[in-house]
Amino acid sequence: MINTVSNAIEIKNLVVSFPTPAGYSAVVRGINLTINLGDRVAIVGESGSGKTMMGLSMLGIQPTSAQVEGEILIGDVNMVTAADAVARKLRGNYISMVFQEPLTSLNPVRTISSQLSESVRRHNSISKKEAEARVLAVLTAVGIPAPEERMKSYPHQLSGGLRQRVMIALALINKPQLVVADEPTTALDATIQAQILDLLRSGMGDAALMLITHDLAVAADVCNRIVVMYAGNIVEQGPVAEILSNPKHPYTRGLLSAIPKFDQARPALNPIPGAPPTISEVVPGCRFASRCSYADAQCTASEPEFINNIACFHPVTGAVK
Amino acid sequence: MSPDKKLINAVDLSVTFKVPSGSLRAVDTVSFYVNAGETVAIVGESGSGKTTLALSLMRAYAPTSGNLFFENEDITHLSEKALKDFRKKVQMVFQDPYSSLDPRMTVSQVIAEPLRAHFKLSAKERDEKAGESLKAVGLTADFLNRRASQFSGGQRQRIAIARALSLDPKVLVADEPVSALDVSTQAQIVNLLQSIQEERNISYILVSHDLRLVYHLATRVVVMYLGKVVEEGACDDVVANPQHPYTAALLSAVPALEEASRRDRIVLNGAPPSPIARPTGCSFHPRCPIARPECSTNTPELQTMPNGRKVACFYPGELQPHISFTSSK
Repeated sequence: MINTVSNAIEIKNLVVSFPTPAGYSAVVRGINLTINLGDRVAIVGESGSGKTMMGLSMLGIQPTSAQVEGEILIGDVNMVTAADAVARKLRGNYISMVFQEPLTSLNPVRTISSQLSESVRRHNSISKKEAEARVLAVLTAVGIPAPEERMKSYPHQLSGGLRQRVMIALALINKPQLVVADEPTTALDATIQAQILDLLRSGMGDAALMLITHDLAVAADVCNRIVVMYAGNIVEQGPVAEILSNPKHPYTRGLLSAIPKFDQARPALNPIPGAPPTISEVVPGCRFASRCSYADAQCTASEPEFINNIACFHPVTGAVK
Repeated sequence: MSPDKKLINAVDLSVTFKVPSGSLRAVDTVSFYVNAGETVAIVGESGSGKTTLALSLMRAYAPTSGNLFFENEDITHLSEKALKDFRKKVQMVFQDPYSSLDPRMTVSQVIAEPLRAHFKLSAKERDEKAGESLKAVGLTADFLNRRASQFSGGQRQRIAIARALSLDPKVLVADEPVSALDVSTQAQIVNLLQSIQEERNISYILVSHDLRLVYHLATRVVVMYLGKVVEEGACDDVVANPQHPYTAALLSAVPALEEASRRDRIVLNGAPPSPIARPTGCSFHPRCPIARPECSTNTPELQTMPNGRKVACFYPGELQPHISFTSSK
């Protein structure tokens, strides 16, 4: 059904809007993004940046009140217009998702094995026994100790870290082209987060990864490419090393300099003043302008286009202090 | 008052909860103090007892054993009525400003609530005081008549801090005060906490899992594992040269912007065990990368080293993380 192409997904001019008293307001405002097979791309942004809505739309599981426009191409299928039956065949098979809180994403009254087998058998006509062999293999691959025993467990019998490994196993079990992981480590402890980040970095097989996070350090830890979103737009993207050493958008620079460092002098942190615009707020020009120290009349008069991996009239150069 | 006077001082404090399968010692023989004007951080994973310790330092839990002193007065067994003065002097800021503020109350009601509980003031006096508290956190008095639900996360956390400051406390207990906020807003609140401390010489007890934040704010750090202190010392010293392998692993687990830190990461196996079924010997030995046979049979005591550092490990300093220090000088 799917032609072999070099990219896992191609998003063209994606707009996701929600009804407000003043009409539809967009939370994703015309995103173009291609994720290649084997890529590990981080979508970084604050709450309200639209990153989660973009992720949900890619699987066609956005809230029912959302209006999605544009194209989300997986092979030659456009997820935006695809019939339910078609989208369902792709979900869990070509594209899958890992959520933040594994306890609420797993069925509490079914064993791990039964939940994972279901996903395998939905997409493949194989016997129960063969499905269980696949389950055992994928649980082993994601580093679950004593997998034969654990597959008979119920979610509540596992620790938070193991549950998240099960979620990742569930996402990987049909060898998808793309796994979307939305803040997969936010609910976990520091040492467990480190384990899961290692797994996301090097244990995903051939699947491409789109990691949604608000934490640039987590993004840098796992991915090779960073896409920065602000108020519904992509404002900057590039390879991790370049974004970290030479960020050009004032917002990216702001995010970097707001993180406390292991710096003995403990210089005061540089917060980004103000807050992002609300969903229904009409902002003329660049949506970051009111918080940006480089903004001038041009920035409030017109909105910068996304050209050469950045949407800014006044890109900055050099490392962030 | 001498500058190094202990404000809160806990000696061998234990807090035990009854659970169906027996008893759970959430805080196990912990000694802890905070001096005037300093920031002490309590770090550890969930289940380490860091929040229970912080709450018992506020006498929100009655200690099962040990003693708790405030300004040299033993308050371990004081009645709620006798604690009223202590309550004024020790206030708290919670993690989530969406659940810690009543959405139906106006900002003025939120901030004036502690004033109402502790002082007999007229409505006008309370409003004045509330306005002063708001100013101290960088908000203006025209916020007073609006409801907390109208504000962003950062503004809400400012309101929560204003409420805590309204009684002019000597100690502020902050449990993960910025972890529910966006990165750009976190820095605003961190800077605010610092400037409040400089102005008022207030002490902070900071509960956090974010070691970069801890390094930035704290003067001393206490590391807990399964209810016990495993390491304690000056923050600079502990981060630059951790003695306990658990501290080393926590430091190493910090998501790093620098590639070198990622490459040499110490990754611990498994998760912390249940405090009900505590491992024999050193509680950390099943996850410890440098554990020896004796670690499963003998329990290391918390020892004080010549420089004042405390560590509970038979092989202190053996495991070192790779941390990329930056220098703004």
